[in-house]
Amino acid sequence: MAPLLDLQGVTKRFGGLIAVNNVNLAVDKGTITSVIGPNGAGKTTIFNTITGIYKPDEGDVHFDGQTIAGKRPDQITALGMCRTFQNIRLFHNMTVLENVMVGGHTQSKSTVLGAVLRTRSFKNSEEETRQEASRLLRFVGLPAGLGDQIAKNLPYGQQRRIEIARALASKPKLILLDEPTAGMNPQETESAIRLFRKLRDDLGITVVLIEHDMKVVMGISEYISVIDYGQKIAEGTPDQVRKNQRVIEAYLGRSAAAEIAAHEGAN
Amino acid sequence: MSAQSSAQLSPIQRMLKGPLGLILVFAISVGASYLFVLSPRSLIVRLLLLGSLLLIYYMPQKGWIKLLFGGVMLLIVLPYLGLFNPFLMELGFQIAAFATLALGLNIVVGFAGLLDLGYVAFFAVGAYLWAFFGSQQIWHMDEPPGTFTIYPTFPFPAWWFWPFLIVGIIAAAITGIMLGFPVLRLRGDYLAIVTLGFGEVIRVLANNLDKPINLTNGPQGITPIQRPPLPAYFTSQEFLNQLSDIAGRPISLNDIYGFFFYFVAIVVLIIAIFLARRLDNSKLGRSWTAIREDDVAAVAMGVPLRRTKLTAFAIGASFSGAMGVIYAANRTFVSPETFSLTASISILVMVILGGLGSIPGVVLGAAIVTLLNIDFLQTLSLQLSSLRQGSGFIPLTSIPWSSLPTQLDPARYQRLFFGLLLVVMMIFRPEGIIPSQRQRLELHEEPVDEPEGAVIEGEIEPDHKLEN
Repeated sequence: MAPLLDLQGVTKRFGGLIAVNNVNLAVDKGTITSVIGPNGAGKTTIFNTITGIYKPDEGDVHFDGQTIAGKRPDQITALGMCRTFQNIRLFHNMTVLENVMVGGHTQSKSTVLGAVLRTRSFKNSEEETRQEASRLLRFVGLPAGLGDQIAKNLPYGQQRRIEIARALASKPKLILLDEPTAGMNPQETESAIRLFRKLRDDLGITVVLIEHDMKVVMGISEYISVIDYGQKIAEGTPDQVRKNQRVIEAYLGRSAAAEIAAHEGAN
Repeated sequence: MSAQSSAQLSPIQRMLKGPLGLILVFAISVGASYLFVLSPRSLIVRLLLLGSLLLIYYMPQKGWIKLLFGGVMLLIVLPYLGLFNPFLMELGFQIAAFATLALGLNIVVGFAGLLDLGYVAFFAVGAYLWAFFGSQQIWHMDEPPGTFTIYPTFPFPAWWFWPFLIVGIIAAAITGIMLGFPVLRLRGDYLAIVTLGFGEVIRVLANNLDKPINLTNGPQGITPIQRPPLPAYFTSQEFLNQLSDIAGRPISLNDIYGFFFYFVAIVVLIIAIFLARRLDNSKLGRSWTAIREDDVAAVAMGVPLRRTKLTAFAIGASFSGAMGVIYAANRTFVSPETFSLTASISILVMVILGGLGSIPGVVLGAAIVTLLNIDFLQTLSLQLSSLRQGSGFIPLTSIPWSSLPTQLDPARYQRLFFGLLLVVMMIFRPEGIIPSQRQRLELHEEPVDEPEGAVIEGEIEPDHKLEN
């Protein structure tokens, strides 16, 4: 079976800097995949290239059987891929419910003329979007009655969840989570991990995440790709990646890695 | 939101609660109207009338009662009072016209967050459209300005005004899209500069398109422009005599047109309010707010950036296109100086003063700025000059009024008052006089109790579980 998301030799340059260098990445349907790597390795740039915020300079991106390189972000979202952001990018001064309703933009059939004339189909479609939004807020574990709050007034952990609910409102086949547990305490992280599993197990959504927290990465991913200096240096199951010499070097530096190896050899 | 608990009512609203409040508002409206009949030229009574309209807006009563009160005031009482002083109708027309423009700009700036400093350009498009087709300009295209005679007939009969109202809307919307395309990728300051330039381009075009083909008649402007025909009954001598009897002064055909344009402007304003409200409260309105808040996030959520921005420009422009056509017919004259940068800024001030994104706020802002512009300061200047001609002294001093220099005329300080007003507003009430819900929450933050993070996971299944 062809992978749901398939990056073939994707390269992205910013002037002389090669942020992403000839990366191949395949994500199978129904898996949870992590993209890891040191800070500045190019992980978020890969996400931005996949979602259409950047256009790849070389290579191709296939999603769900068609090429999406060069398509606009909103077109890609309409095809069933949605994301969250590393620094939360909620619509700060909109209510929580409105935030999620914007996420349902591609799903809603309401038209401008319908809005002006308040046709029955407009009212139905608005009501449907609203219902779906509040259902999603409960699904991501937000307490009831939060919908009318202004998004920026909520604590960080809840904002992360709203962002996920907003992404879910577009009914994605694939969701890209950019450091979704950054800044969370251990309990919050624990419950976030449960939520990511639920996305896949209950909704059947394929999950790709960028993560720094190794506990999260190793605990949840079925497949891991490691990026360093814009290149993929390793991939495989958590166990394979954990033992990979190049990964240890990338994270700890060459000399430390050699020390560990020597130490382990001595044992 | 209609179910307000009494705790949320402002002091004014608490005062106006219940049947007693209803009677109070009624009494104030009737009182102000009666005072107007007694002294039709008094500025204070005019302000009182406007105040009673504001009270009607603030009444905590049910929507239909407010609508009834407001409707009776605007459509029956004010026109009746207009019989005694035609300036009231002119004032009403200008307030309604500028409120419509401000509502259009509010869609672009308030809803979608695209700062447009050349908004008056769309007004110019509508105005020049009817000015060109509704006058004899078509016959003078190969003559330089100021050389031709006025004929008794026109190329288009006057009733073409009505179809051109629609054409004006479409033309302005297309112009809006034309402006929208090059500025799609710009934000903030850069967008403001380009729109400012665009506004000037339209004005300069109007100024210079008198050669080689005379389209706009240059700085002299186009005149006479036709007014739409009225039903014969309203222009008959009999009807005029009847009105003259009520008013106690001769009512001319010109006055009848004053009433006519007042009603047209009010109807267009009501349609504009209706449209703005419904659009704001829809998928498109949410998309506008979303791109204002964070366009990258919005586009990542599937909001098509280009289309959403262009719709904002087009719809915003169409409001002022319609008003442009009406304005040209009302004045029977257009010239480029009406469409200066100051006019754009004036409309922007209305929006900011009233409350960015707030529909009632913007209408009130338009009323205040228009009053300042054409009524308040002028009236003060007139009164001052009449004092100057008398032999009295300035109170508490021995200086005669006559030695007061004309440089101190309030009307000369219009811009100064504007500036002061804006500075004071930005310090004490940056969200505007009647802020939108969103702006209030944005600028006047109250510490919100963090809801307890009770985590309820997976209680409810979303209904779009994908089948694999």
